[in-house]
Amino acid sequence: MGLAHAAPPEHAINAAKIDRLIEKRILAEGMTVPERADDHVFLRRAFLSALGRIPTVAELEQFRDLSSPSSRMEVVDYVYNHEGYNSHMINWSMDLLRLKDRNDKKMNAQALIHWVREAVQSNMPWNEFAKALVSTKGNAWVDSGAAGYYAMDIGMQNDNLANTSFAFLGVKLECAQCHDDPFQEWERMDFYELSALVNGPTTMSRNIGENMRKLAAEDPENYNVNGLGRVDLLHRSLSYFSRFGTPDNKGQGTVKLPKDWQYEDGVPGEQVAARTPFGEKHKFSKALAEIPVPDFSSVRALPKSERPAARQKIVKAHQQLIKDRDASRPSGLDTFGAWLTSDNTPQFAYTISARMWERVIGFSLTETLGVYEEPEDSNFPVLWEYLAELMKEYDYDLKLFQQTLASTNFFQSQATTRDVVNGEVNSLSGRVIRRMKAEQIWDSLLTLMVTEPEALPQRQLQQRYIYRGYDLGPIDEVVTHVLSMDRKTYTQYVKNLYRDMAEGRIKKAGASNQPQQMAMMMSPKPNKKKASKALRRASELPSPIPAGHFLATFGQSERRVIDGYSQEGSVSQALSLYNGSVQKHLIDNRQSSINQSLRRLNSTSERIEYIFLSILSREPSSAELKTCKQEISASGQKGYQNIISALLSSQEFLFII
Amino acid sequence: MRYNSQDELTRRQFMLENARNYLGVSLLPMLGSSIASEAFAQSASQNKNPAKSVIFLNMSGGMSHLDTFDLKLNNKEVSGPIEGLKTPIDGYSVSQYLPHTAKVMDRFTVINSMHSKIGAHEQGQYLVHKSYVPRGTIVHPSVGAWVSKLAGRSNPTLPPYIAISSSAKSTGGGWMGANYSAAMVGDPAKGLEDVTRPHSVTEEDFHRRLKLADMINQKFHNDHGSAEVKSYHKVFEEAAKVMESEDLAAFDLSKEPASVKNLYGQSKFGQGCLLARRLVEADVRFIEVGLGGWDTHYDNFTGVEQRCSELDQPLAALIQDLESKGLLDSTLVVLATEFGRTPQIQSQYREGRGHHPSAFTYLVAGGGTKRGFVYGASDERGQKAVVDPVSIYDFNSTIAYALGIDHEEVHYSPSKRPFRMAGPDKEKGAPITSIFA
Repeated sequence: MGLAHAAPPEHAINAAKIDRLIEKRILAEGMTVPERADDHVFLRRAFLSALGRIPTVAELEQFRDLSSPSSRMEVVDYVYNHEGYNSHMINWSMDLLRLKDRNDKKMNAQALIHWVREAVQSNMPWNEFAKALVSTKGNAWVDSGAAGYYAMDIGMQNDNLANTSFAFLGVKLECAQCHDDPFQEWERMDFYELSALVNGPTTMSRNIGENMRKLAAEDPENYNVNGLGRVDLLHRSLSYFSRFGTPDNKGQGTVKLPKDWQYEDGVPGEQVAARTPFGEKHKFSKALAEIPVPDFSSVRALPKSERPAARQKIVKAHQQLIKDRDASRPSGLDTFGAWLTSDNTPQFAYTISARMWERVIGFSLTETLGVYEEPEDSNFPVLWEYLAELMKEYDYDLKLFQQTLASTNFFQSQATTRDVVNGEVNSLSGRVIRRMKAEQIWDSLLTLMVTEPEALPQRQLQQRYIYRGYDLGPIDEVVTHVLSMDRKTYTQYVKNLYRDMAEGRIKKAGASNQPQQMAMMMSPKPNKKKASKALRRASELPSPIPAGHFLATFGQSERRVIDGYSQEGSVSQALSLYNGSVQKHLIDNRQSSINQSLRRLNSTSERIEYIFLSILSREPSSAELKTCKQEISASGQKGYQNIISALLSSQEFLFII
Repeated sequence: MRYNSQDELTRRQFMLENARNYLGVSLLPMLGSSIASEAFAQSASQNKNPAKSVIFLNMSGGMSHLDTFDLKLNNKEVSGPIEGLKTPIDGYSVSQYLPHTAKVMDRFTVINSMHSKIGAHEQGQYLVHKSYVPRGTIVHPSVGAWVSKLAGRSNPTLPPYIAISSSAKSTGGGWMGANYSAAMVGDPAKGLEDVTRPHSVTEEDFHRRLKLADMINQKFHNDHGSAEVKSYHKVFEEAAKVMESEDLAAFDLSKEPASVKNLYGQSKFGQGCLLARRLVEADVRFIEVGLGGWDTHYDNFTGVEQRCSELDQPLAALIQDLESKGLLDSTLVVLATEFGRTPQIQSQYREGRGHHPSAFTYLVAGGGTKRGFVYGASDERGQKAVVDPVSIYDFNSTIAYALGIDHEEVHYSPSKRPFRMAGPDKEKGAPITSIFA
């Protein structure tokens, strides 16, 4: 403040370096460096990039004067240190990791989602984040939510691996799951040797010793009680919570080749040991895979009476062999995490820096977003190499990295009207215009409905185990207990627990002392419809959002696949903006913040200006002001609603320039 | 809902004039059915008796061919617990999970020799919908968009392409622009949502809003008018036109008698199929109905049984209903999926099956296709399509053929790149004409 020689912050110096690299390239291409965008365009862009929403009028006021050279940097600092940054970054993470509230078996995945949210909120370094997801063992409700990463993809170990590889390394391995990849260098053996690192069950196990469904059918009086459902459903619920985690025997380091193995480098059923196909080299000893099957031939020579004991001895010796091996071998998951995030696996830093670049700057450095190419063969080799180095220098601090990109002059470029495509140098001719993502539109509308969108309630992690209204205690305690029991004890526990509820020995959870939102999140079957109608930022709504919801209509990812969102338009979107929730909850709603503010203003011009600032982040031109005033004289108070609706259905609102 | 009476034409003309006045644009280019090239019109590859509409049932997740329509009952190791149900087609059975469909198989052509190279959902669904594999440099239009463009619309006010319970990602207009994207119906019971003006907005207000938005848009287009931005403008015009449509009742399932609703069943997919039939009656060109959840890696047989219980009754009902209304010949019904499942049953995933693109099944019915016909075959394990293999490119060309449009007609993206409904030249997509009667 006021010091003439105060050194610019680190990220500003790095931003200037990036600008020099871009300018050099622009000039080398015989192009001209794009002009700087207007203040209001810059403001809107910065807010949408970092916070995922347009600025409120109060925020526009705060940054009314951007004439001094440092003032635009103050905007960048503001948006990247704002609570709303987390919300927008959570959307991004949910898309990349395909996070749904429940996995395909309908197991509650909130523990994992909550862990990811906290990681984003604490700006956890990206390498630690990735490593924790792929290496953490234990139950997601008890030990760490990160342990839910594999359970999310229950029964789909190979798909999970292909998705991990694409999300974090930009390397597509899905072809090599089944055959040598004809388009890339990967062979099917590469995939299997890598998969050996993560081989093992996708969830923990919790078996029961009795057929509970049969029990409910045979003894309905005791085990299929009105209001409680069948006893087997209680077992299912308990097992779903207790199984949601990564078991100790995941990451075996060896894997069996499948029955349809078609190449000469292996035979169906053969055990192969782990090897990493690219990046940092790791190779597990083949010996791990080669424990001979027990040989019982000697037993047959013995008299019958001695055979069981002899057989038992051989079995025990074999079990000891396995035990010794398991104790001595490295953990596959730890190795996998180390390999994935190593500096010697260059794809990791390159991929995240390219993804962050696209997120902030608006176009992809590679031909296809998120797909790794050899940097020296890419369209922007020097720039990309610098960015990957910077990412490492920043210790994978994604917030600082994005803040740096938003501090470049290039971020402030005027929009280009050329039809440019990703990965082409044309992208350097100016900002590529794109429609807001579904979440950006939704969150922007929120700024017109409430004064402080970030103050709205957030998702809470369910703490207590509520089963059909009965409070079974804290989830982690219940799960720990359930996991500690042997099969027989657990069977009895389920029956007792069921009877305890039936006979009122366990209390119903008090509805009154639970805030509404909490109750919603805690019920075994969250009321999706109700939750999705709540006034919350997009990051706080159910995932995936039900079909027909505003966010789905505007192309929010269904979170089945990476980058599953769409930014294309449709008639349904136009109808929604004309006649849907926007009209009902925003324009017709006297309590919406924009309507409240308009009532406080005195003159027609002030109100029209306020509407333009709120929705388009700019003042009306004199021609627009004139037309709008005519509208007010013709339609009276209704005219303001007409102007709001018109602006919200304009392309200027929907597109980020 | 037909447009052949003099009165209707006058009304339509009147409506168009109005729309032109309000929106300052001509709607006629979108209206005219495509006048295909003369060469194509005279060529033998044109279907002389084309269908008018397509109902595209999208089984996303990868429907197991082995447990539905391509049974390998002689190979227990592959078929697991599946049993066959006899159908009216001699020697052809479907799985026991499809009792309703089994009875109407004599209306279908079964294509048991579908194959592709893509074993991932995202890319697979993309290819099924677009005849191209995803590339970062362009977003391709879906088949429904191609059909809308090449066949033109036959109802002047309803969207020509409507997607029920489908994803925006699969049903977009791509480089053709947002105005070629499907109109989305999330819940068939609610029809096309937000299509009527709220009570608080008078017709006059609405038109004032359109004019005000036009003012903002004109300025924006002058400064930033990329092809994409301009296509959005058309979308909003389309929406205003849909609101004025006199055929919106097509979306209203409550107009159906209970007996018909029950025929389809109360499931979302069932009601989606019923809505599709109503939209066909209203001359909508291309209707997609989605049914997800086919990704049965884990506990395949429970999963497939469950999915089939959603699919079975509505599929049979749709065929019977279209037939009884005399619409089956003019409507091509397609049952599609991105790939099949592995013949190998994976015991470690409670009898699961993995992704399997080298052999899978599509069904078609109506639209001039043969009845009770099995085309192509996979090998004895269902591992590979071996007899008359059909690629996705071939199949999408077949849709074009059914509608009498040219699968090879080249159209250019705003970035001046050539594209065809048949997909890239090198894939040599060609219609399977021998499945037509």
